[in-house]
Amino acid sequence: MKRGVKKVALLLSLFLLGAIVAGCISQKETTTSPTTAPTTTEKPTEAKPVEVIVYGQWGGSEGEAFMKAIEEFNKAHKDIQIKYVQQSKLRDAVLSELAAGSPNFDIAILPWPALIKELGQKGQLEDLTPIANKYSGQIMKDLLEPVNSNGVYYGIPIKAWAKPGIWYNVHVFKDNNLEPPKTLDDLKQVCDVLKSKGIQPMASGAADKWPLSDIFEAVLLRVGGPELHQKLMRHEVKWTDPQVIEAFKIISDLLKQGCYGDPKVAIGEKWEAQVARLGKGEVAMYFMGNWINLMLQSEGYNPGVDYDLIPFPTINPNVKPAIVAGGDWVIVPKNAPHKEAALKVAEWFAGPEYQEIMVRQKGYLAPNLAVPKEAYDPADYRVVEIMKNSVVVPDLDDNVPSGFQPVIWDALFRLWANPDDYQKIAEDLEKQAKDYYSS
Amino acid sequence: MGGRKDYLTKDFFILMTPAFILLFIFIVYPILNTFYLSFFKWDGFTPPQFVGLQNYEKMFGYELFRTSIKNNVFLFITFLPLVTLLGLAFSILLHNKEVVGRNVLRGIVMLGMVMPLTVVGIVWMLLLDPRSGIVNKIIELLGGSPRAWIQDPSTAIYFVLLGSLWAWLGFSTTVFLAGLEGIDKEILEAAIIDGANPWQKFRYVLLPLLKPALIVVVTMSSIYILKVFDLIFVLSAESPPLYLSVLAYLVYYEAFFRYRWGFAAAVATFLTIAVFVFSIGMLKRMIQERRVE
Repeated sequence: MKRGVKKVALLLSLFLLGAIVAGCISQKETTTSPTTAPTTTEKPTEAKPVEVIVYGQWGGSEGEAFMKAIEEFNKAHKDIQIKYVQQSKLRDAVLSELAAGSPNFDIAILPWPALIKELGQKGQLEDLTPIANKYSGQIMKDLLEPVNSNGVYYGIPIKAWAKPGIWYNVHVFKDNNLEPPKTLDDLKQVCDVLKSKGIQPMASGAADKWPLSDIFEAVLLRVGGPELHQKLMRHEVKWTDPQVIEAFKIISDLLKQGCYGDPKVAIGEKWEAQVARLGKGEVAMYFMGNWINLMLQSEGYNPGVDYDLIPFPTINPNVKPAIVAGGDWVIVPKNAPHKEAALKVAEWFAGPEYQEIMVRQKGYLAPNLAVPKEAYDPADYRVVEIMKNSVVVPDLDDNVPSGFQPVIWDALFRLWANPDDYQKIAEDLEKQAKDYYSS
Repeated sequence: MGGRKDYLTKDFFILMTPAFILLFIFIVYPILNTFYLSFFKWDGFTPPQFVGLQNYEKMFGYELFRTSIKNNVFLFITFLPLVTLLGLAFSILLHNKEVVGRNVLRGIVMLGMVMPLTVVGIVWMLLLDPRSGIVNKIIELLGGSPRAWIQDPSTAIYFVLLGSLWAWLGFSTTVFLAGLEGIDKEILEAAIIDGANPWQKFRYVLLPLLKPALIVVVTMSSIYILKVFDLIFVLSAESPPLYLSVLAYLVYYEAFFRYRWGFAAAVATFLTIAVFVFSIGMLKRMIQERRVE
């Protein structure tokens, strides 16, 4: 009995050691030779389709629309099948798998151009310039250039989005004889009227933090124009610059006036829940990206009838109208398990065929300009028109040095919680910016 | 009885080898590798660059590290006495067979222990939602104003404490309850016959006999609160505000947001040492207690 136990222990030890060695060897084989040609002695078998794994964070109605597009591809291509894996922590998944040297995905759809460029420069990503060249002149330049490093494109934009302005509930405005605000003073007056009627004038989605930087950027663009916005993004002006402070103060005043409801409650409001509240008229206005068009329509609301869109009110009439726009880019890792197939899929994503399927499902703006105007929903095309008539700037917090984005969100969240502290919050941000921009 | 190291035979090593191999791969190697990495500047992709003690020097001057330490210390000094005292109180209450609804109460206290911390976080988020949460609804009914308790920078940390207490109260109660069940009734009866009042019975009879249970509760609770991460992560919608940062979150933030893997490794090493020093101290006491017994 005792000898039997000892034998089991020894066998278990040998098995564990064997498993470790086998694991190391197979890892090496996978990374050095991802595909091997069949030998002549092997029996011919029916070719199995290559499965291209795509990581992304699209979920809900956006994810469903994407799945429909994938189905179209899979039906038409017997040799390649796309499998979409939604990653709630996309950044962590992509970075840890790339750092490990053997990613499990072939394509990732990322919304962070600065990160893509950085990963490309560090030799982690495949050069996608041939795809950019194939669609030369068709892809929005504003979205293609942020992922260009020394003439090499490490990503291709497959989706555009914009934060075009304030979505408002048409019925609330009509019922209260209000006109959509065109200036900051109009906005403040509208807020007062709505507050007196017991309606929350604006929603912010503060609990998720990122929507706050969108509001801040909209105000910043109206105070100092695209130049100030871009300079602050590159930290060529300080966070304590008088114009930046003015932007903080305007938000602080709106918060104190109660435009976002009670700040102690507003900081607990999640962004997605505010879309339904806007539709129901519990809140009258919501500054948010174009994607809420699809969300509102899927809840049964009609654009132009139940809700509409206005550009953010003018603050300084001397600055050029500008909006923040960005996108989602496809990347292919250098060590992608099925690189050839991945490049074919990436090319399809970048082309008009895929993007038209997505545009027709609403809430999607195509960076490939070959997608016809007729494919667009009227509310989506309204966003395209606003983009055409404005200077388009990249998202500030998406393009600051790594790690500084949560610092900005944190600061703005503190502003929402304590609107009086705007001066100190700006000073703290400046202090921290020095560290992030220098390291 | 043989000497203290009699068990270190050839058979012992053969039988323990599989466990040692697993322990080495999944515990020892990662700890050693993290310690090694803490002397390098590494972004996870380009070759690591040796920087000596620079990461540790930077760490102590880093504001976010100080914020994290402050939060960890606050949670430690509040959580530890509360979880111990409340656990002790509940165990005494649940040990008393005359208490009505003892089993229901036991189930409620244990609920936090059997639920994953992420679920605990979600439950608290729903309870405290500023618009639909039952807590704010009650406050409104009582004439107060609702608040985003979890998100408010001035109250957020207290809810991390409250959530942790709820999750860990079941553990401390169970351990103390097991300790109480193991105490010979005759000892307590002898104390009563000797004229001990309830306080004296607790202070001079029960507490010394519960010392081993106390050490287990203090050790395990300390390790939990020093490493707390998941609850904060869930409570803050997976994007913890930096004012709520703790050491475990700082490791994650530095690695995945700033790509300073070497720096993150230095913070992780600091945290590991803190947990190790504390647990070794407590385990030593536990062994001493056993020897005295």
